Amino acid sequence: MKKEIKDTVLEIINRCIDGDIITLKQMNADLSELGMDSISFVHIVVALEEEFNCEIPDEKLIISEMNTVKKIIAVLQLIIKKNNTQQET
Amino acid sequence: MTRKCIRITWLSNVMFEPYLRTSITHAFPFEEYDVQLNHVMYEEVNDSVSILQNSDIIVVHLWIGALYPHSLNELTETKYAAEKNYKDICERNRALYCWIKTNSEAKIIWFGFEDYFTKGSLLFGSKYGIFGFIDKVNLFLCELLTDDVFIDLKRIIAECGILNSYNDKGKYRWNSPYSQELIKLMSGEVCKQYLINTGRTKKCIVLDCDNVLWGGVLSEDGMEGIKLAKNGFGSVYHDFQSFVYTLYKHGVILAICSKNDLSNVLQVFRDHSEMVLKEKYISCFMVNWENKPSNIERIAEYLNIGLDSIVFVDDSLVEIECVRSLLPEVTTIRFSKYMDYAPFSCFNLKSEYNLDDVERRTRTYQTNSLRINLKRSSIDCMDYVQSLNVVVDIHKALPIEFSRISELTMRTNKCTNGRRYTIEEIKERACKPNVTLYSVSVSDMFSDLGLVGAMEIENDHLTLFSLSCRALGREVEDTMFDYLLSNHQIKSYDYLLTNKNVELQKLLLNNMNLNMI
Repeated sequence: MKKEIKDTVLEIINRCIDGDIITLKQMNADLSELGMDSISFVHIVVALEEEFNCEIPDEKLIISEMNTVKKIIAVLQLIIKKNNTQQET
Repeated sequence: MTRKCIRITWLSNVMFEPYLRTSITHAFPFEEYDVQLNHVMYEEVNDSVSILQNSDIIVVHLWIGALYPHSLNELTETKYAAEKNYKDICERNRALYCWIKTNSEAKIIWFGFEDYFTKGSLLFGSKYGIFGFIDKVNLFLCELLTDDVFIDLKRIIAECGILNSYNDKGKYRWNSPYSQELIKLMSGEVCKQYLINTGRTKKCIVLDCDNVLWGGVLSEDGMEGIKLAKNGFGSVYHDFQSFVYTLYKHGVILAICSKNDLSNVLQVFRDHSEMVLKEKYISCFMVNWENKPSNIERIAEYLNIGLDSIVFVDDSLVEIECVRSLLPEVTTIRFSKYMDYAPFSCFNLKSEYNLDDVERRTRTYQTNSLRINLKRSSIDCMDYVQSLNVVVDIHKALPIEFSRISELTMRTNKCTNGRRYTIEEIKERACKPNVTLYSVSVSDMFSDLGLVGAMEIENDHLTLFSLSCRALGREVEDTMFDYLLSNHQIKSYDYLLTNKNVELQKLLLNNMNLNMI
């Protein structure tokens, strides 16, 4: 499951950012230094929300909160976990 | 067909994504255009000079709410704040405009301000109470942008509907206040303005008469029985004629193609008091009982234009389908009483026009039948041209002629080296000491054709050769070549292939025997 999220996130990021392909080795690299600007950030967020059928909380909609692949995955995992807990209760 | 690359920079102080990229790409026909979009934020504009420099179109939009985040309510509700800030906002816009002009040669399309997002009408009603602040600023912008394009965004919001134009979720999440529907309409407007600016338009509208220009069937109801009036049942036809008259004033050639007796149709055009369209506006009457595709082909031949320049309007589905299947190049529009006029957006017209030029052009087309008769009675082509008494006047272009020359380069498809100039480009080039621009005017024994040709030489290089199809077949092009060769030592020429200008390449090769670039 964890691997699937990683792959999908990377695929979305690479689709939305112009430049060199970002790989699994760059989990902690600052995406804003790899070509992500405020416009591609919006594209990434919208694509993630569509793909994972979720809504990223407003407080996370700041580039510094989601500027690495690792941070993005962490945000998504948190949302998925929260959704699962709500479904169980 | 190779797709043309268009580089668009969208400059705004609010976000238009995630909808802009898709909307703008879809607004331009995919098979013809490859759109490259750069969305630049107003705050980062100083870091984006190279993007602006490498743009074909720069779209500017400023959201007044982001310009005055702390004083917006005062601005739109109190006279004092509005007056105080009017100068400031005008200066900020002028500075931005001048800065873009200094850094880029791209065409600017500027969306005006709007204030429908304030929701003030919920509290105060819709009384006009903001002292016209937004309208006043827009008027200033409209006057500032004389060489570029100002778009009334309020009008586009009206078309979309205020309730459908905004996206609160986008606004509060990532500062993207407009809805997908509105961004789609704005993108469509950008494409429309691009087509207008590059002269991509249809040239001729071919109209049926019965149940299109008037209600009823002329051969059965007679002139007194047809429905045509400013008010009542005939007003739908009166309104359509007024719309067609607007097309005529802006340079669209009008032709009639109707199954009727010509004398009856002419009687309506001459004697019916409610006719908006007069006989003198019509370049060609093809009124007989023959099939319409053949008649449309004759109209194209008579006017010397391509079938793909023609739009055919008829109320009969049978006629529309017949033309569509036999002449697929012709654009067809089925007329009905309560029709949506949107299909007529295939005409991309400039808002300014010169009625004298339009009337002169129409007279040339009208007298084509006399020329055809003369041609038939002539022994050979040389005899025909001599009998026409063609007079060609070639002189250095005057500033007053720049607008017509620009129009000519944009509209000519057959006898052109493919070079197209905007008025601004002509003005700029005319200032260069090594550039000589000529205008070519033609008249013959039947009419004055007016300014129908243009040539431009830069040093010893032919940069422009353009001759209207109205003047073809009179050996005007030969006179132009003779003039060039006797006044200039031309060593090379530009030639850009359009879909229809292969013949000119042959002419250039035969007459000049030079290097093509």
